[in-house]
Amino acid sequence: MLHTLDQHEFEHHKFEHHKFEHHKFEHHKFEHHNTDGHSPDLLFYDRLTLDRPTLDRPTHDRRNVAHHRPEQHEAGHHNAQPVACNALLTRANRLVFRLLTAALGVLLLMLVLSGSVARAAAQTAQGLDQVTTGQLLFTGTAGQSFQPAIMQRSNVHFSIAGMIATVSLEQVFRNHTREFVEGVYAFPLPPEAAVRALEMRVGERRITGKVREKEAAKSIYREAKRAGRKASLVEQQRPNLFTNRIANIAPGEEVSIRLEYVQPVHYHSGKFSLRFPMTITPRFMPGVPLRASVAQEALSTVAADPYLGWAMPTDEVPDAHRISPLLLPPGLDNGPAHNRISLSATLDMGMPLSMVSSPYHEIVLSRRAGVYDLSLLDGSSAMDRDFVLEWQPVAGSVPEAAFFTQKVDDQYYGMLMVVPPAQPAAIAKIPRQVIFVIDTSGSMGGTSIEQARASLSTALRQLTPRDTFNIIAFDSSHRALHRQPVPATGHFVQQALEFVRMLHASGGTQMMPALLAALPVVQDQGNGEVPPALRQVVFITDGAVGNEDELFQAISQRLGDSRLFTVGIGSAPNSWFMRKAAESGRGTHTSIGNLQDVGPAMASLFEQLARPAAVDFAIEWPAAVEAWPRRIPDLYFGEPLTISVSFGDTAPVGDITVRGRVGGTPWQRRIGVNVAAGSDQHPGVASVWARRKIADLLDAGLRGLDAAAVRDAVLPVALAHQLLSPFTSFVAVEEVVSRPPEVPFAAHPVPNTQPLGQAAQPYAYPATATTGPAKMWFAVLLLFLALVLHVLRQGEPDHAAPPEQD
Amino acid sequence: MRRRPSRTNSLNVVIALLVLVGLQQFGAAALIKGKALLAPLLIERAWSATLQAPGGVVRPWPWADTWPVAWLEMPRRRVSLPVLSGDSGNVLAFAPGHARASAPLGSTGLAVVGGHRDTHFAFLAEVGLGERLRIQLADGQWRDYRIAATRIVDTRVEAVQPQYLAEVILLVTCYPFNALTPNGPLRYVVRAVPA
Repeated sequence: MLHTLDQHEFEHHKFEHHKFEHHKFEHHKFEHHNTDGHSPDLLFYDRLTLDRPTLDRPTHDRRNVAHHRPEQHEAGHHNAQPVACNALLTRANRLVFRLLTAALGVLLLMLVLSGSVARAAAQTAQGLDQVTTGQLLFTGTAGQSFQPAIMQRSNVHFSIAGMIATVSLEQVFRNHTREFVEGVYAFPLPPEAAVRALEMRVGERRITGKVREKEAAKSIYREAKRAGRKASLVEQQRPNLFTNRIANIAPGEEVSIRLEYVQPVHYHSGKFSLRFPMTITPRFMPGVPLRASVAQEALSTVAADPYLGWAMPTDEVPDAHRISPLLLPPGLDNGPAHNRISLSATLDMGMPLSMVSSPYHEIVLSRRAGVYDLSLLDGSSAMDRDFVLEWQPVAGSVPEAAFFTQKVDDQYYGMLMVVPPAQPAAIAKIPRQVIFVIDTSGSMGGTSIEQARASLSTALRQLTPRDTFNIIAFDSSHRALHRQPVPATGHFVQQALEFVRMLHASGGTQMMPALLAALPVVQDQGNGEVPPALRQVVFITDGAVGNEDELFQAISQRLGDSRLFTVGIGSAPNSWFMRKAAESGRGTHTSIGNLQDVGPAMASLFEQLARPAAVDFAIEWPAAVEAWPRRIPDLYFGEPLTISVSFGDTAPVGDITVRGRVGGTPWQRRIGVNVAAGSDQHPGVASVWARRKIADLLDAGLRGLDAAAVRDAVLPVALAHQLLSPFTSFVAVEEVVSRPPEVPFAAHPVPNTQPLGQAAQPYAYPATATTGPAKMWFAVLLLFLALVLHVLRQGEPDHAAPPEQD
Repeated sequence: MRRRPSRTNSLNVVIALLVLVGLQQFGAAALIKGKALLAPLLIERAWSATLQAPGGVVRPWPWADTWPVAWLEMPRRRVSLPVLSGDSGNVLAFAPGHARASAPLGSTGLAVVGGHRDTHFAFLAEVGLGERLRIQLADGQWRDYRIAATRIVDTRVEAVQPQYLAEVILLVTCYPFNALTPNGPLRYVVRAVPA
């Protein structure tokens, strides 16, 4: 259900809390103080003494009465009848007030009694009143050690040539216990990574891993684990989340797992970039927990292969336990040993560069013969944020088109990159509707919500009065600022800015209802209402959810003529979600890692929002090809067209012609290809092609292709190219037996590091007080006032009641 | 006969109004307490049904947006309460609730159970270190826990981290216990670990 609140209501409902927090805090202190000094009674007596003087006030009143007397005489004879009536009323009144006094007495007694219980309670709690907040009072927590049983460190090397990066990632696991252990480590990789090699190293021995069908790999690993052999099993849980299990690490021993993957380099507005994630923002798992028997099996530590996650499988995220790795408690993760990474890169672009930078890490850079080498300034870094590398060619050598080829097993593969010309910013003339959806869930706590607020405020200021807009904020529930989009005039923008300023992060991440509200079912336009020419949804989130696939499906189904643009927030956003959601929404994705990014990133996004996309692409190849992705997406300002092809066993010779429509006018470009002559080999082109094919086939699954058909299509590709996929895993087994099968072993999780600056918690404490006591006191106050008024009236000499009754 | 009926009448009206509103407020307070007292009795039926058919979700009444996930007992304090799923206001009105975003009860990680300070969790004020409590999960098994720590938390500066390495249950209620206004920033947190 969508709750629409206007500004007033809104502040009342949602932010009352925050607005008056300070006040309330003081109030609590006051209460506190009172508790020590027998307050409720005192408070009451004070009020009594304050009220008493009013009893002596009749002198003043009588004077007033005297003034009014003539009028009353005039009305006198009318009152002959009411006298009897009044007497009756008075009797009734007196009865009521007797009861009232009694009731009040009982109530007071109850309250005083409950108050004294609370006082006693406060005392038993070892003088808690003196404790200032934030001070630790954990006294009985001895014996809980937070040093993980298995320590992990990583080394990563990027070698970047042209548009493709080949990355070697080594994970070293060290057993700190006195028994044999199995390590379970969940780690992130870039969402487009094609993982194509695994090597396990134990001392001087190296074992090369093989890609196997998922279940086959699992049973090979299980058998090795049982037999006491060292083994490693790497599985893909999400395109950007993998698990690595390492069996039979001996006490004090180190085992190293080296993974190799290739990925295309990201190119946008003349700037290249590469992102390497290092930790995982805890995902929210929507849905109802699955049957306990299923859950028990998944969570149980005695299961054959426990994943040791913190979440319980739910009906919407049945694999929640696999994608919820534990995090180190904050404050303990800065140790030198655990989760450190050392990083280096070789950058060979074959063109002069004007800039190489890393926005979130300090790097040292050296250059020899056009090749750049870089590494971390401090040697190593905590794995608490994404690593991003950006570089830019000098103005004259910005590429506009490129074609890379590779020959593997007598098969020719290619990767095409073409930059369409910049479209004119013609859209400013068309009225558009921008719907902002902002994530205010608990995982956005800390710096993330600040970045999100800053992004949204920046975006709001970029709107023109011709545009209409609305804001939908969501956590466990969602609420829209307005029922209908409103024009972006000064008043509404100010109101929206105030709304944004008051957003705080707490609660769960129920993304689906918010998305559906932002993408309503398009109604029949028969009522003459003209739909906005351009409806753009800007989705600001960290993507920390476990039900990604469902969301992608919902976006594709509900998109209609709208376009969805994602803005990824935080030190460790779910980049796969950002990218794929934008792809399903036929928009673009933008990432923001700190507050400094907000300005440029939002400016670039608005550049894209303001210009029409380049559409209707068609490519003519010199020969029959298998090109992926099948459907070429619309391209926004600054985006290149990239496509991977396989030519089969014939070397392609001829021209590639790319046609499209940019800003309403046709455009075409021709690129010459001659593989036979120029035997340029670009490693990784084939793997990227296979990875894109797998991704496209999986997308077909999302669009409704039968799951078995998807699996049958993906499996041969993954096996032939030795790639990790949802249906294939890497497994490596050592021949030597390390652990005699009768010696026991234990499975331990390898915890991840808390994402930098993000709140240590994905949700807030519940609100745990009712308005009961307040209502009770208010009731007492009102009844007491009634009593006082009654007494006061009786105290008057010229009271309605005859004096002899007193 | 000197009468001032208009003044008397208006006074009567004021008094009647005060009494009415006062009684209404009292009634509202009584409703809150009554709901808190009666709901666990209704939920008990749903819980025994849950135990009969393990793992299922049994709603205490058909339109409920919550269901019992555990039963919490502190025999020494004669506390016997259901734990519902979810910790939103409409859940906590009936019984203590388990925060769905936190770790499940009985597994590794921080499980958070919230309850109102003026109804179900009022007893937390008196709970001391080392005391025992037990929790029954849907599988029917009772697990024993002991109170390891108590603490006051300012929710403006810190919140819960469920991704923890050990099994911990946090019983959370508002603080101070005898404050009048709801929605204060302080929480009284009782930490229980497996005994």
